[in-house]
Amino acid sequence: MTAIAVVAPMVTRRKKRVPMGIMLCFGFVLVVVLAAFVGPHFLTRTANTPDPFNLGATPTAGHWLGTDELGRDVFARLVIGAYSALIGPFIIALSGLIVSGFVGIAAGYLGGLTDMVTMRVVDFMIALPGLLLTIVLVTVVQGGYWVAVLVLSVLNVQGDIRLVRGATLAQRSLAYVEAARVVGISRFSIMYRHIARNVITILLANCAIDFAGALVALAGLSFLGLGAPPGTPDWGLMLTAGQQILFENPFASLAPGLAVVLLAVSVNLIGDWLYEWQSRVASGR
Amino acid sequence: MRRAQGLRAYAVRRLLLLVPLVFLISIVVFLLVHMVPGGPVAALIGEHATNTATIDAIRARYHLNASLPSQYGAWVTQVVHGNLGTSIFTSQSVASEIRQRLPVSVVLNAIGLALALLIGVPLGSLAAARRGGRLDRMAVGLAIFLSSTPNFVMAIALLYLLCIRVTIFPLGGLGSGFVDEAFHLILPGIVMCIGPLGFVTKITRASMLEQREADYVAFARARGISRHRIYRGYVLRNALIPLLTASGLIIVSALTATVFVEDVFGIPGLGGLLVTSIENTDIPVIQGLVLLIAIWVVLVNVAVDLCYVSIDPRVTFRGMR
Repeated sequence: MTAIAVVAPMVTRRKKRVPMGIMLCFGFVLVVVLAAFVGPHFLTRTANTPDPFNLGATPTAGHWLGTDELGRDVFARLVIGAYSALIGPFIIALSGLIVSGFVGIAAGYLGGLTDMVTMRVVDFMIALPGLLLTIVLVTVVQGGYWVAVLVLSVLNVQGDIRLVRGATLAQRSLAYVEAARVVGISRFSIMYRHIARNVITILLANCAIDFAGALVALAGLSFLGLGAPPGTPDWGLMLTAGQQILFENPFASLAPGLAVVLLAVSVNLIGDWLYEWQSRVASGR
Repeated sequence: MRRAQGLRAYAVRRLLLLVPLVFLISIVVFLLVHMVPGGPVAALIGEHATNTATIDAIRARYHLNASLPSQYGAWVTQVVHGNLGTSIFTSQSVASEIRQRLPVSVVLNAIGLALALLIGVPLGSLAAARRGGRLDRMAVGLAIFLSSTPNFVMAIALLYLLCIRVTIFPLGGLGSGFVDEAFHLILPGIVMCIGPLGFVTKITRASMLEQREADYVAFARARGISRHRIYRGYVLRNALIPLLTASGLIIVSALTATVFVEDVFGIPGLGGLLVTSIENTDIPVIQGLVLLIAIWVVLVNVAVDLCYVSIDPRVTFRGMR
């Protein structure tokens, strides 16, 4: 008996490590997520307890970021506000992911009338001034945060659909799709099992960028008093309120502002990095 | 010759398409009053609609007892004659409020867009020319930072740094006299440009990189044309086409920025007017502004498309060979 040694070819794969900057971005996002979900349990003071002797005070050991115009602790409000900063953009990005996944792949794969109608609607929506439209609708309907989330979810979807459709068109002519068709796999299965797997990365990258856009848009709506109800610890609301005591305690508005910027930059960078990673994988390097 | 004809036919078609679009917009704007919880009466006189005589007067004045189409007819006739109704809050006519505040906003938008183009295009092309270099990485980083910084955050930060910490610029408002007004508009103008600037830089860089690889560049190099001339004469001109197609989005983003910038700096423009009318739920003013903004956006999009097809000779029209 001869033992046949099968020597697997040594796959030398250079380890693609996540760059330092992207690690920092993930780190910051993690910090915000932790702040939103476990942070409130560790706070020594609540977000709505006023300290009447310290209105608009500068940072001290007791109040790390000082107090706001009603003497409430800015740091505590910042930590608790992380939740409403995350939840709305998350819903908007997720709904974009789901809707554009279904519609975009269908438009790209089926072509014909489905494609034409979809792209007409998408082209129309791209020309709409999304944030301005949201501002007007939320004002007129007097809806608040959740109406804003709903409207932004709808007005965010056009870019995703266009992207997924493009990616699907590129996949459609590849050998595996043809092979699947020849074998007799159903259209539904080709679209939502096989093609979906190949376009999901680029879609995720785009959703990260959607998330950042939604974060900025929702903060803007809250800033105008159209998002979170007055009195809730929300970064956009804190910015408006803090603007009035810019002389006394600048951190009351600068800290939430910086939080929005850092979160948006981090998520945007993560999205860009995912794009690049995807195109490297696609080009087989 | 054929192309000029095709172009004219296309322009006429696009302009004719404006008619149904404006009609659609006017219907939506008209219906805004009916979308307010509590109905049109609440929208038109605020929330204190308790006096039946007042309510009846309002219903009669705005033809609210008539059918919806005839209400629309009456409203459109007024609008076409330049009467956009009166503000609930100030009792002034909406048209005159808008007319008073329009110039500042136009100036502010122009400053923002001009700055974005003047800085963004050179920065984007330099970054592309030195791909992977330090300048390139800085430009890319700056573009990402600027496009993810909300303009109201930037406005407040600059207000704090340059008006409170170091008192270089005035705190807000508009001042009086030309020089003073111009001085008051410097900082808001800078903030106006940040969103568009990130966008312009990103697009210019990406399309320069794409054009650089084009065959005509290699050919021009082979013919011995200097690199400088290729860039200035061919690459940049081709690279600006994506910028033109995106300019609709850029102009709209500047428009959105107006609302926040004017709010933070207390500038009495259209953005400021929108914010006050939001705070007071002043529906007639909101209707007037929405009508104005919608028509502006539509016109910008048509103008961009027309510019695009007339500049790019590769665009052909149906029926033209």
